[in-house]
Amino acid sequence: MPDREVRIGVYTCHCGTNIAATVDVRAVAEFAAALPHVVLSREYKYMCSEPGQDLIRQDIRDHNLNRIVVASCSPHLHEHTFRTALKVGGLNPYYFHMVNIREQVSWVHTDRAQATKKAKYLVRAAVRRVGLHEPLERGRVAIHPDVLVVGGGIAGIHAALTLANAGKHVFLVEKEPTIGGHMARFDKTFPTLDCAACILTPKMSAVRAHPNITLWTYAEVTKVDGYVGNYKATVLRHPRYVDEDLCSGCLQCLEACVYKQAKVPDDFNLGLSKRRPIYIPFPQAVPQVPVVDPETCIQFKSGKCKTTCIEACGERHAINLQAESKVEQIEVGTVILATGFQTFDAARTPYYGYGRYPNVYTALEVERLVNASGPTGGEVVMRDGRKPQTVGIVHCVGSRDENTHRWCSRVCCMYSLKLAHLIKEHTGAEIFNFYIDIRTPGKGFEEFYQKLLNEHVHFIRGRVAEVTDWVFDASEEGKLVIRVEDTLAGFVRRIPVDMVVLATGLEPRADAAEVRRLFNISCGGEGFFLERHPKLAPVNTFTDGIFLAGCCQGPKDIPDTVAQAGAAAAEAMALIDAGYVETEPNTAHVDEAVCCGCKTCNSMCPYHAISLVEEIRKSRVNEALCKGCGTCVAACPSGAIRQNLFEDEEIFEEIEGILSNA
Amino acid sequence: MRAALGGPELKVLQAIRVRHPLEVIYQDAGPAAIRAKVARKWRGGAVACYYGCQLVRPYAEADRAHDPVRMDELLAAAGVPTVEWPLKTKCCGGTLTGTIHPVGVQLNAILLKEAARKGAQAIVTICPLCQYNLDAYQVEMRNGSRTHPDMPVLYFTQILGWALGADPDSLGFGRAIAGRKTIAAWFRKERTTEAAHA
Repeated sequence: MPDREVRIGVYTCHCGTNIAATVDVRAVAEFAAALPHVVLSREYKYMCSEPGQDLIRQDIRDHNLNRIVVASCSPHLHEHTFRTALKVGGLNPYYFHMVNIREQVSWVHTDRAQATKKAKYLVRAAVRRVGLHEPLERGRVAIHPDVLVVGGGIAGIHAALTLANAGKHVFLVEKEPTIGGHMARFDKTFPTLDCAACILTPKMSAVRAHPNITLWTYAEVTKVDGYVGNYKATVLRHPRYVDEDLCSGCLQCLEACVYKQAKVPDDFNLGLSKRRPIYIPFPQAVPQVPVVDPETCIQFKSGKCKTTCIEACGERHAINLQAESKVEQIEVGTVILATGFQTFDAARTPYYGYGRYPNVYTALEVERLVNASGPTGGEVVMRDGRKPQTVGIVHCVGSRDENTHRWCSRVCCMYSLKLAHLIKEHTGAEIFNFYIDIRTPGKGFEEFYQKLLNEHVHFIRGRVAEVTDWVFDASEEGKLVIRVEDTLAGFVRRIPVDMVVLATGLEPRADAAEVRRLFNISCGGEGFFLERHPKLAPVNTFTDGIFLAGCCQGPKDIPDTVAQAGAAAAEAMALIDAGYVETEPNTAHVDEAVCCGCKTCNSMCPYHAISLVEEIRKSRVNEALCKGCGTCVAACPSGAIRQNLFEDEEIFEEIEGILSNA
Repeated sequence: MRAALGGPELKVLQAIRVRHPLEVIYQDAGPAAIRAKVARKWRGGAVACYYGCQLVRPYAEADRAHDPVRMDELLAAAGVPTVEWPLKTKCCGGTLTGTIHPVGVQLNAILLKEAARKGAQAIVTICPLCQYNLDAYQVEMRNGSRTHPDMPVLYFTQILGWALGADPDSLGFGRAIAGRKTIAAWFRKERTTEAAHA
C-alpha cells in the first residue's frame, strides 16, 4: 500500500449531452464524493477542453490531490490528454485512471437509472484501484535512421524517393526483376490521360541514380527480427545471371540468344506475347539489366547451349550463368510495406467466359494491347487477329459481389472509362459499358465521365448475367453475346459484341498472409493489411515502426497511393528525426526468482517480446516490444509474470469496486 | 415430415444423404471404370450434355456450378462424343410448360436450337423433368418453325446402359417422343455389328 495518504480527485464529464443525456452526471459525482479517499468530486461539461484540464491542474495544487480519476470517454481518445494534465500539475501521469462512461455506458444503454448505476459502480472501481497505482516512467528506444521499403511499385518508389530526398538511407526491395509495379503496365492514367510511362519512368530512373537508395530487385525479405527503431532484416537476392555492376544495358545478349524466335510467354505482357530465356521485362525497366530465366534457358536445362549471349557480352563479362543467390543482412529503424495487390482471377467468374472465349480479355490485358510498347505495338487486335467493331466492358468483375469479393475496388469504373476512350480512339469501335453504379469520386473524375458520354460511349445499367456465344438469331452469329438486365429500361438485353473486357477488381496478393506474418502485422477480413486507425492512423500498423502504403492496405488509385506513400514516408521520418520513441510503461516483467524457465510465455506472446535467457534459464521480456496485452501474465503457470498498471491487487480492487454494494 | 409419413411404420432416418445417380456413378465407379467396361462401340453422332439445375443448384457439391463436366466425362469414357456448349445449366423452365406455356416452350426451343447449332444430334439429360420438357414439345415448336430440329432427348443412363452392353429393349428407348428415327438408327439391335465389335 502507498506510504502517504491517498487523496483522490474524481471528475465526471457530461461530454455535452453525449453522456449527460443518458447518465445522471450529478448523481455520479455525488456518489463519488462519498467514496473513501475521495477529497474532491466535480462534474464538468467538457473535461477534455482546456478549462477542464486546467481544473485538474489547479485542484492538484489547491487540494493537494495525489490520485485522479476521470469518468468520460474511451481512454483511446483522451487518456493521453489527462495524463499530460497530471504531469503539468506536478503528479506522476500514472497516478491516474480513466473510466469510460460514454462508449461503455451512455452510448450503449437507454435506461437512465440503470446507466447511472453502472457509471457509479465503474467510478467506484476506478477509485479503489487508483489508490494502488505506482509512479511509472516511460522508456526510450533509439531509432536507427535507415528505412526498409518493401515493394517497388509507385507506392514504394514514391516513399523511397521522399525519404532519400530528405537524406535518409533507404533499402528498396522488389520481388520482380524491375521496379515499376502495376503502373508500368498501364498505357494512360485517368482522368488526365497522361502517359503512365512518361510520369513513372523518371521516378524509376531517379531511384536507380539516388545515392541514398540501395535498390535490390529480384529480391525478397525472408526474415525480420527486432522492434521499432531496431529491425534486423534478411534479404534474399535471387541470381539474375547478369551482373548489375558490369552490364551496360546494351541488350546485345538478347539479340544473340540462340532462340531466334521468342518462345516463352511474357509475364509482363500477361502472356499476350513471347520473350526469350534472357530478357528484360520492358524497354524502360530499372535496372536496365537483363535476366536469365533458368527454367527455359537451354544452358540450364541441358548444358549444351552455344551460350552466344556470353559471346555477345564479350569483354564486359557481365553474364555469369554460375551466379548464386546472395543474402544481405540489414539494420533499419522503420519499414514501409508497399507490396501492392493482384487483380481478381477472371476464371473465378466462369459465366463471363474468360479462358473459354478467346476474345474475352481482362482489363489489364487490354492495358497492354493499347500500349505502344505492348505485344501489338498499340494496335487493338484480338486473339483471332480481327480488330473489334463492338466492345463490351463489364464492370465489377470480382467486386461488389457476395460470391467473390464484397468490396468496391475503387479504380475499375475510372479505368473502364479510360479504356473505353482508348479503345474508341484506337479502333473507332462502338463501346458498351455495363455498370452497377458509376463511381467517380475523385478530382476531375466526374468530368471525365461526362467526356465519355459526349464521345457516345454507351452505358447500360445492370450487372451482366453472362457472356455467351449462343445465338438467338442470325445477327448474333460469330459474336459474343452479353446478356444483362437493363435496370433503367426494365428489360433483359442481349448485346452482341466482338470483344469483351472484364473490369476485374483488386484483391490482396496471394502472398499477403506470408508478408503479414513476416512483419507481424494484421489484416482485415478481406486480407488487406490493417491500418492502426481507419481515419486517424491510416498508414500506421499495430506494430510500431511499420507503415503501409498503396494497395496492400486496400484498393486505391495512383493519386491516393502516392499521397499515402508520402504520408508513410513522413511518419517514418517523424520517428527518425525524433531520434527515439517513448514506450508505454504498462509492460510485463518476469520475477526471475519465481520463473522456472518453462518457456510457456515465449510462444504465447503475440509480439515475440519474450525470450529465454539461456545462461540463467529464465524468461525475459523485451520492454520495447511488449505491448502490455497481458497474455503472458495469464499464461504463466508459476505466476512469475506481473504487469505494470495491471497488478493482481489493482485488478481485484477494481472487481470489488464493481461488484460490492458496500 | 414424420407425421406426414403416417405413424410408426414409416420414418425418416436422420443420417440419410440423397445422392443423384450421376454422383453415384461418377464417384463410386468413375470414368475409368466405365471405359474399362465399354461393350459397344458408339455409332451415333455427337450429343450435348444438359445438366439443368438438378445437380449444381443451389449447392454445387457434385460438380462445377457454372460449367459442370461430369456427365461429359462419363459419356466420353463410354466413347460418346460430346459438344462444348454454353447452355449446360440454363433453365428448362421446370413446370412453366404447364403454367405459362409459351414461355416454358420457348426456353426449351432455345436449348434445342443451340445444341443443334453446336453440332449435337441429341441432348442428354440428368433430370426426368428436363427430359420431358425437351422431348414433349418439339412437335409444337416445329409448328412454329419448320426448321426446328427433331432431336432425341435421352436420359444419361440410357446411353451408358447401351454402351455397357445392356439389352436395348430394357433401356426405354421406345418411350421417346422426338427424334425416333435417330434413336432407331443409333440404338438398333444389330447382331452383326455387335458381333463384329465383340
